[in-house]
Amino acid sequence: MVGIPGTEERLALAEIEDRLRRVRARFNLYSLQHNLYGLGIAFSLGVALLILGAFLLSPWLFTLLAWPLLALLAFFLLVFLRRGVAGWTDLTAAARRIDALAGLKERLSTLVAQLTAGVIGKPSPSSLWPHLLEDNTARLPDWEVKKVAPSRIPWSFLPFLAALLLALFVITIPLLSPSSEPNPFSLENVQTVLSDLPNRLGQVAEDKMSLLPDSPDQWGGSSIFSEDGSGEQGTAKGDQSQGQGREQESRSLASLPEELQKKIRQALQGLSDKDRGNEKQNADLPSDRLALRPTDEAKKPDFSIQAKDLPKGQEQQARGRGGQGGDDKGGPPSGPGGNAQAPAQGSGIQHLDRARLDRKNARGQFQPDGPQIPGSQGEAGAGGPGAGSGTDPRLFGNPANLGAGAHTFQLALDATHEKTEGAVEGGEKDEGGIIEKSTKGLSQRQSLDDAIRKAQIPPEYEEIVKRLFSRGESQ
Amino acid sequence: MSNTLAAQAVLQFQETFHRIQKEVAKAVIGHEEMIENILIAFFAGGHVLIEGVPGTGKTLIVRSLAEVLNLSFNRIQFTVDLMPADITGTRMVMDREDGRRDFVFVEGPIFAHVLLADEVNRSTPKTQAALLESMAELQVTVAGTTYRLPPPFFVLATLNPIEMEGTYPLPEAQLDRFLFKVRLTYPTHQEIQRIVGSTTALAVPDLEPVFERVEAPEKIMTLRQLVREVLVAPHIEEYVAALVHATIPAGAKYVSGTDPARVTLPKDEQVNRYVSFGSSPRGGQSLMLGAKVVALLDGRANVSYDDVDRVIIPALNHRLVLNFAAEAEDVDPAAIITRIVQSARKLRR
Repeated sequence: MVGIPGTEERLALAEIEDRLRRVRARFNLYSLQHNLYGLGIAFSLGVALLILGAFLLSPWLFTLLAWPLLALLAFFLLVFLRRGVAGWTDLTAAARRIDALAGLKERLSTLVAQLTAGVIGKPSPSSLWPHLLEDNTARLPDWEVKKVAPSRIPWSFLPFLAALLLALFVITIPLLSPSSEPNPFSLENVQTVLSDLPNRLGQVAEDKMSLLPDSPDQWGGSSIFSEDGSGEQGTAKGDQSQGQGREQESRSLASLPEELQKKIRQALQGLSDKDRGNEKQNADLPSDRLALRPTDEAKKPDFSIQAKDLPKGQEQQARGRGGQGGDDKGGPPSGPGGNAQAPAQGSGIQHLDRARLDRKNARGQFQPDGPQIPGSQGEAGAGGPGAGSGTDPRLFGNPANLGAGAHTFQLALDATHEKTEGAVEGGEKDEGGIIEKSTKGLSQRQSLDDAIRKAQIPPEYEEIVKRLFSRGESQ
Repeated sequence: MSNTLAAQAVLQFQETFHRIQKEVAKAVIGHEEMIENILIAFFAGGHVLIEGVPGTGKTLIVRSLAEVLNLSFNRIQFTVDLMPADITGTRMVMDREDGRRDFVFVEGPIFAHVLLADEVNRSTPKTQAALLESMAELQVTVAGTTYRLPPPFFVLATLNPIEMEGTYPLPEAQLDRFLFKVRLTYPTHQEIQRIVGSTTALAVPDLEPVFERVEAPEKIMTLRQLVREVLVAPHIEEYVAALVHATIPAGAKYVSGTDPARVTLPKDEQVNRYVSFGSSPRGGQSLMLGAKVVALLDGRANVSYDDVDRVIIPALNHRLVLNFAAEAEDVDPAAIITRIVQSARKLRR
């Protein structure tokens, strides 16, 4: 007796197999999702616990908690991996599940078992095989995919979502809290953060957005042929951003403990009295960086350097540095014409801005179309908000030696990656070419390191001190 | 067999079964489930041990069944002095037509399609063994000559649970030869009322045979063949094996140290406590054959878990050898089997 001789039976078998495969795919998808969500729940909760532990527990207790927690997470990973492998459904298992779900009384699983055993094309082991097939075909409507297959999204998605939101909440609280807050998870702080959540989130989003490429009109998209007057406007913006950059630094300093501030000030021997006064004034400002609104202009100390008191070359240099917030790095060359180049925050000392400048360098978006001559009263760099004019005389050397624009352009591009402390004095003598690290700059850095070491500045504040020190030195 | 023929065969089986049930029910009032179990064992090709108090209709059931099936029927009343030859037959010196004398084999009452061995526990073990050997081998050997028993051969043995004095309980090995053990319970109030009314009247119920006398054995054998054609999935076989294995207590004798079973059940506490010896593989065979009949009765060509569960108590309850503690606490083997079935539900997924 031949197992499946007829075309009709073959077609019926094909239909059954096709549907079985579809249901099986749904079973497996569900199982996979379920396990992934389970794992996600475990990891979200684990991360939240770790963060909470890091803030709430002593280092010793945190270490005690962290290792078992990490081991537990690894255990969960293995458990869910094992469950995923064990829960993988083959055709026979899928048929059994369908039998149970649709009440087929093992009709389908028996059929599949016969097919797996290779009944097609061979003498059937039973004269009742055609009846089994016929029976299964007649019962196809009983196990349509919609009826027996699980939903596309398992129920474990909701707990996973809840765990994820909890973890995000735990991660966000310290980010939205003032850096001076010793315990971000104190009830008061959490309440404060929650009450001011939209504003704080907006502030963080704004900070993050600054990493994105700026709009073309800020970065030379409007070309050097833009209208006159934009340069003045850019200068004004540059001053403003310069002020903001200093304001942030001073606020960072103000956020430090009093004793530490004293030590920092001792280390900053190069700071002028004026600046010290300004910083003292800034210490009265609210230490909460995020809470300080940009509109609080009245409270902002004026850190802008009076260019009129400076020599001609230094005036430009100051402007150029204003766009970078007093960074000790060489400023990038200015954008075409009077267009804005410097970051809007004017905090050229920040790594984020540096990353942005590097990125833009790589793209070549703000490479100048022509040479910028130092000593041309900063007109080229005056247009950008932040006035990152880049007309640092160190970059170009003697104006008399300036040749074609392309030559100057090359210098400017390289200069963005170099230390320029030592080049300040030698700017007039520089004949162009790639600027080398100054021995003087290195010694200054060493002295700075020594000063920090002597003052016993905690490592987390070293960066702030270095920045302030650099600014003082440059002035 | 085409689709239609296969379906027709299943349908014919169902019709025959239900007709027999209906006809027997004319003579036997109540005991529907017992009669169904007896018929399941009959079509599965096994023998049935019926246990029940006197007067509950044991003999009536068997006689009615033989009459409905239109098969030859004999009855042996087992007593202490019954000899094996009284069952199997013996060689006797007979006068031939030519005047010479010769040994001729005279068939005993065992040579019938349906045999009622009434109160089988009253005969000696030697006589019991003669019967039970014939049941297993479906043949009788007398004086070196083997005689085949006529198919279908079906033995219904009865046990009287009371009056145990002077009885010889069947050894476990011989109990194992019975496919099912059916316990006849007392009829209900309404059933007794009907029995009283129907059996004391003038009219006797007329039972209509389901088969013609000549073709009955062949048709029955065809139906028995169909039962064996029912398809079984591997996971059902695993389930049956797990059930049988679950009746064996932990730490029992003659258990292999390593059992690489893929599907096993944890040993039930009551099994460990009350069972001395579990079911033999014959129990699994009985279970599967009975389940196949149940599947056909449901119009299916495959065995399901429910089919197995349906027949597990009659198939296994006489195969569990209970210990003294079980007898002292009057533990019913059926209760232990029910617990095993409940614990086996997780294997269904």
